[in-house]
Amino acid sequence: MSDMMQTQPAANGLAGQLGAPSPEEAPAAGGRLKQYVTFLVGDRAYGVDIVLVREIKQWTPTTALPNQPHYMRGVLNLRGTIVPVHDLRARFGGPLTEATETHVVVIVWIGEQTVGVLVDAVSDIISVASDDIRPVPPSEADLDQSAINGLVNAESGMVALLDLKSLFGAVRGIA
Amino acid sequence: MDDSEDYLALFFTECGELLGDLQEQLDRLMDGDRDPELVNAAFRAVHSVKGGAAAFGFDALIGFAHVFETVMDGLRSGRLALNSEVVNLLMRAGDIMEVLIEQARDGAQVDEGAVARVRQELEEMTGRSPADETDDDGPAPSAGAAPAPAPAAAEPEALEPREVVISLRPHDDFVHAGHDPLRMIRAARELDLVAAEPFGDLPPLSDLTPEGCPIGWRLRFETDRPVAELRDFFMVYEHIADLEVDDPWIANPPAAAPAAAAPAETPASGPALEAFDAPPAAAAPPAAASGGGGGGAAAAGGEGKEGGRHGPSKTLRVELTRIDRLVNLVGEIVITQAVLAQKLSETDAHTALEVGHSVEAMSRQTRELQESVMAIRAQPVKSVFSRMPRVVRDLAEKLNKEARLVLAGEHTEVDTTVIEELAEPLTHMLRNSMDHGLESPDEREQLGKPRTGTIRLAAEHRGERVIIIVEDDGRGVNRERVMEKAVENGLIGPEDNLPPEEIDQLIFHPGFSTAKEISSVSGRGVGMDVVKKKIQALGGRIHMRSDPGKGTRFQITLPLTLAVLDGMTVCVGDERFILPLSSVVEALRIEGERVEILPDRSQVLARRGEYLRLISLRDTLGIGDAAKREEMAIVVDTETRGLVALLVDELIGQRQVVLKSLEANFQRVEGVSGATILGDGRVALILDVPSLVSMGGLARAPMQEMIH
Repeated sequence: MSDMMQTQPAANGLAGQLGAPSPEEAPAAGGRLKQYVTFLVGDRAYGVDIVLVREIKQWTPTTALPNQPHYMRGVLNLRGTIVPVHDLRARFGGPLTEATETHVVVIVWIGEQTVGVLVDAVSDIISVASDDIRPVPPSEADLDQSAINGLVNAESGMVALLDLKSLFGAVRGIA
Repeated sequence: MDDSEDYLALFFTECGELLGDLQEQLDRLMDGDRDPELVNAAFRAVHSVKGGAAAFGFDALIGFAHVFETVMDGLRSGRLALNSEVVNLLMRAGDIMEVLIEQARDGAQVDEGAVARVRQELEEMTGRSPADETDDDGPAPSAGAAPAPAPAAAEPEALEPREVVISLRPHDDFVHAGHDPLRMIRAARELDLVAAEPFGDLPPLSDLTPEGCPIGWRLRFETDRPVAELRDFFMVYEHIADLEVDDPWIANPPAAAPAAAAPAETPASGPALEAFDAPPAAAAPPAAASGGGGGGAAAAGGEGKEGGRHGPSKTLRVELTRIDRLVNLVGEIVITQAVLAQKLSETDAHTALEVGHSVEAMSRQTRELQESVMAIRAQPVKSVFSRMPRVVRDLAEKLNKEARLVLAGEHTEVDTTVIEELAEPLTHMLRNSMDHGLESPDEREQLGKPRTGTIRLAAEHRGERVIIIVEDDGRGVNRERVMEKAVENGLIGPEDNLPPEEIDQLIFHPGFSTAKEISSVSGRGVGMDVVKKKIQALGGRIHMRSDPGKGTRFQITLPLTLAVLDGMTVCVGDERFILPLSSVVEALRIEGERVEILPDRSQVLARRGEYLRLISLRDTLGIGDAAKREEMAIVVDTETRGLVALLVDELIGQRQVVLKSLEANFQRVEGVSGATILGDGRVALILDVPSLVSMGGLARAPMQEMIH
């Protein structure tokens, strides 16, 4: 898992770029440019708007919460605040990720809440013009469709852009 | 602009406090206490509201407060007699003033009729004995003896420009009552003030007090404004400063002003202001007036001394966010300190011993620091309790019921966040008691109860919690009606045979209202469920007990603070959990204790002749199959269902934990009231015993722990 080594620099790079003049503002051919952090679950690449990514953290064991959906891996201590961690693989119907020290928790903002997403590795930061985002082809089983905002063809292959709110924000309703 | 908004917010905060004080003083007067200081204090409260209102131009409030204040002034000088009828009127006046403040603040609807009624009653009171109107502030102008025809009412909108000189000589408590000469003068500029000349002697520096105002001002206006406008402006200062007015228009009004035709408008105003109202003939010659003013100053000085200020305890207004920051920081220190202690225990014995003493001392100091910080946030529940008598009075009137609210334990201190959030549920519960609980006076009489119902609102500390009780002596819960309604709503089946206590608890279900007709007071489906939610959001619980025909008792249990908790750490599998120490009764080792299995395969633990339900934390919380030891039983008090025993693997020990919210980034989790961070940085859940038990209870047999 040499990917792990990339995550730290990637995280640092993030901070640097967050402070830089926002690339979104720059008008570009093919619509507005937006940056996405991409990460891997298995071979699949997912992307999240860089503005929503707060930090990237190495996996540490979480504290389980009773009676939660199986993809809800429990909570962790993020410098004094309690942050829930969701398993992205399990959220998309896969088995639970066997998390090790090389796995990564992407800490994101969903509205006012801070939430962790467990993935295998962070891979890249890509710039995408809004015109290059393709819709998800319709399908019968639309359960997870709403969780994906669109598809992008990046150099390394297709990246699915996540709609974090419908993925994990909806958890609020369950009580 | 921001500045004045800040002042405005401050004013409303102050109004809240002043009304609370007023309420307390009136309550004591109602109880027959005739301490003159009570009247003085009540007067000051009304006066301060008026003063603040004047600074912001809330006319309706100023006008009402003025009449109110005049009555209070009459009472404190002994011109008016104090009896229970009068106190009753004062209470209603206090309520009206509160309504007017709300109106000024949020533009709330005001029942103008009620305001006018009370106002008229107040005016009648002062009008009743106009001959006694002479104030000890100085010799009254001769016109003060009878309601003078006020030219003010008939005067034209604008007059010829003229010069008006008003001398204002503050009394000793001018500044204390919240007046600021600078603000006054600035405000007076709006009324064409052209000059303000100070007069009077400054005492030597050593005698100067920051609260006193040794000098007065001669304020010169060049204005064409009507007399009334100036009068309104200075009305505020009437009881708190000596005023002399030299207005050529009063001294020599244009012949056109039909002074005699004007109705007497404010016979109640004090002597100095009557100069405004007085017909020209009555205007005292300047020499006499200034003589009177001098005498007034002396008299006022004496009065100020004998009136004796309530030494207010020194307070400091601090923004809550600053305190919160402090609280959080202290919380972090507590955690760091725990980490340190744990790390130390892992090092070699020699070092541990040496450093251990220091760490222990630090731990003591940290705890003390934490307590002091928490104490900053604590506030007596009085601030919310004192609003309740009005609620009850209002409702009594609306519902044609007679009720008496008895308060107890108002000085119990609770975290300020809790206090703020309490007003709404308490109001709701009082409504509920008034509307559903208490019978009508006739009905009560038939039942052999006193016509006046009693509602008790009490607060007390119990360990780390605060108990608030709302209790009435009404008819209790109509269980048949509740059952009917519950079946109707599909909450229970028609055959369900619930024990009475469980029927009572049904009223906490959403959309549950048993009032036969939807009244404007309570019922409409927003009811006790909202109260319950609110209380739970505060980390508290509510429990209700009803005794048919005798009354209903609600008990709210709240944490003292939302920040720290004394807990007992237990271990189940690999996870550690915190049980609030306040609910732990004892810990028992399971071996040797007798565990019995009931026919439904659930288990009970025999403990000194009684049987306690056994609940497995492992099953309830869905903890995986790590070696199942469950050797300890922690006996806990559920507050509502008596004692139960929780099965855990191991008892680790007691410690204080800093409460962290799960809801901030996630949601409420059944059975868990929050989380904390342990010495090793890991998160541990804080268990919510009552909800934990109801989880186990709901799961029935399959979820029950089996011990083979």
